[in-house]
Amino acid sequence: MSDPISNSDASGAEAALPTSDELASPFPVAKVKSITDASAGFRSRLWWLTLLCGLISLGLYYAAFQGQGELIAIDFSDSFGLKPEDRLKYHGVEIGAVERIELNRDRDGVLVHVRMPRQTRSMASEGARFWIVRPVFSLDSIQGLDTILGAKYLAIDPAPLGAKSASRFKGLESPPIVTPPEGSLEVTLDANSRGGLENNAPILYRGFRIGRVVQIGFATDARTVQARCAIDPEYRDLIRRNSKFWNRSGWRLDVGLTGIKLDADTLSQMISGGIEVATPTEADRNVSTGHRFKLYDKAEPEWNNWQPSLAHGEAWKRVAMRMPQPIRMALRWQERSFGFRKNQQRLGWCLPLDDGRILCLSEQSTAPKSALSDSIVYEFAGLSLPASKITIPTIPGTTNATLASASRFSISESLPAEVMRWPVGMVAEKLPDEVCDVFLAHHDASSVLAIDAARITIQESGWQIDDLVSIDRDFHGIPVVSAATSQVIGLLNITKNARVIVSP
Amino acid sequence: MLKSCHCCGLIHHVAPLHPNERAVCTRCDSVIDRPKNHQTSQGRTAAAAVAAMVLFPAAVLLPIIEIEKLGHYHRSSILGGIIELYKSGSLLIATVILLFSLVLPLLKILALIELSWLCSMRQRHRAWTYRWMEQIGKWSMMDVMLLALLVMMIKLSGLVQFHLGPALIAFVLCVSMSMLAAICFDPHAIWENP
Repeated sequence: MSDPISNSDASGAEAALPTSDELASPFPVAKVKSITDASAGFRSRLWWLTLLCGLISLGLYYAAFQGQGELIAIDFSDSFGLKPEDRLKYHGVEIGAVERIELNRDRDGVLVHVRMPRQTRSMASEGARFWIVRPVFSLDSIQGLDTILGAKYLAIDPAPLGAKSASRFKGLESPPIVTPPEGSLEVTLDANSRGGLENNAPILYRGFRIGRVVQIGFATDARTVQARCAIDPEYRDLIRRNSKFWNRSGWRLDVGLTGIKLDADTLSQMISGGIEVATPTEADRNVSTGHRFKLYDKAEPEWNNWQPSLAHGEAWKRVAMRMPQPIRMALRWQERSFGFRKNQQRLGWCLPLDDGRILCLSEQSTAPKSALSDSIVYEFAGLSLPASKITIPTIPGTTNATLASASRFSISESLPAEVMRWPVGMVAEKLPDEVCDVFLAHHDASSVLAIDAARITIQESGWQIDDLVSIDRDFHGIPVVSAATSQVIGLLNITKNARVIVSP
Repeated sequence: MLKSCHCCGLIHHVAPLHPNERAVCTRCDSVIDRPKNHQTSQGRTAAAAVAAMVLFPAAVLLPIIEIEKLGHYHRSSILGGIIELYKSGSLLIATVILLFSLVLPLLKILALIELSWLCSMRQRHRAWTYRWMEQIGKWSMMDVMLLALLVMMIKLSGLVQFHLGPALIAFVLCVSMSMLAAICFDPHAIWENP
């Protein structure tokens, strides 16, 4: 404090004059600053902050207790290491948490209390099933691998929508048998022995899983073992009356002079077994739910070589709703040869259109020049019409009657009412510029052939189908439907050396 | 009237002040004295302390953190954590945390409310409370705990997953409010009667 007084009269707005008493002391006089008057308002503003804090704390209480949801109780015989705060999951998503676990009143099991938030509470209604997901190791199966290191969790198979609310449930000992999806094809396989098959074993078609074993058990008389199988809806058309099922369970080790051969497709097949199915190239009709097949112990060698072209999958399901219904057609005429009249005929298909005309191959609607004009008869849909009642429009440019094309003719009589007529709008003008997957729309829905775009090449005459695909002669003249647009994009013309789709 | 500067210790004469004036130190320019309406500082202290008090239960009782490690979940409040420590046998640590981050902060907030609120108290009692509050305040370590939480989150973030609970907001606000209350409190109000 060397000389503080010299500072004392520095800029003070309104310096209070010190009294004589104070001047005598060695202490400086404090400066006085005038301030803008903010204190009066600030006081009330701080109380607003208090109110805000109170509201925040109330909000936090509300968030913590209101968002918690309701408690439900599930009976289990064993807790399997489930602990409080473990989760309740559905499809891997957390929808609740275990609050506490206690012994039940009879002390023969445990009671698990689960807190479920309000949004998911309705899933735990009457009919919901709960089980504890835990690692299961056995010779047949490995399950719940995610719970070896991590926590156990509860899984739920939720109640159907609108079920009655419930708060007490009976837990399952093991995961429930999953109900097959709507529209699955359920068939029963009869086998001599279980042969290592397990519930949920896959059913394979060309090594591709198309369904699974729902339940395996004795037949009622215990003479055979029955496996109830569910084929997924999109693959149900692959199973035909003459399909063969055989057991591919486990693995086979062949030790021979040439070496060791291990025969197993997948790990899960090795563990839980599997059923393989094949359908012959000449596929029979579709089967309906409840059909019984024999389950063979092993495949005949030729079964693996069967290559039927079967329509299946999403595109087929969509197209199958509206499939053209071609009707058989015969063109009969007489020719004169060596002074005799000789009967001739051409058989094929035609498609009645809703504008009254009929779509078919040109060779089907036009008799050869050698035919006697009064002998030409068109037969279809129960009608037998002479050539005079048929009008074939002559299209300029195609006067030569290039046989490998289609034509539309009209008739003077009317078709029977029960004959389905295909809308003209669903017939393409010409073949699309690029190949696509197609269906050969046979009259019989189970005979419909699917042709993959990879089996089609574009030629000058039309789309030529690969020789590898086996198509019956009977398909001559059948309408071809595009899998993408469900339009009729052409007609199939089968000649001696080629199968060609021609423009309609 | 003589008053020493809080900052540099220089003793000044302070003249009576008008409501919109402040006395400042001649050496370091910090404010030494405000006008004699202690209601202002007391009102602020009371408001901040009450706010801290309101938030305190929420900060202690509501879940503050949720830890997930390999599918195991654990959710805990501050009080719950202390009880768990106690149950697991760490008696000393549990007591230390209970004392320094729960009991003492609570006492400090209560003391602040008492000092600012009860003007009718006898001067001697208020001075005694103030001395106690000064001592308590040194050991009340809510803010330190917040820092510890932060350090833990950074250190363990690779090993476990954290989800912060609603109590954290209450906790942070409570710490700031009690600090604000301590700053606003003017100890001169104790012996300068209104």
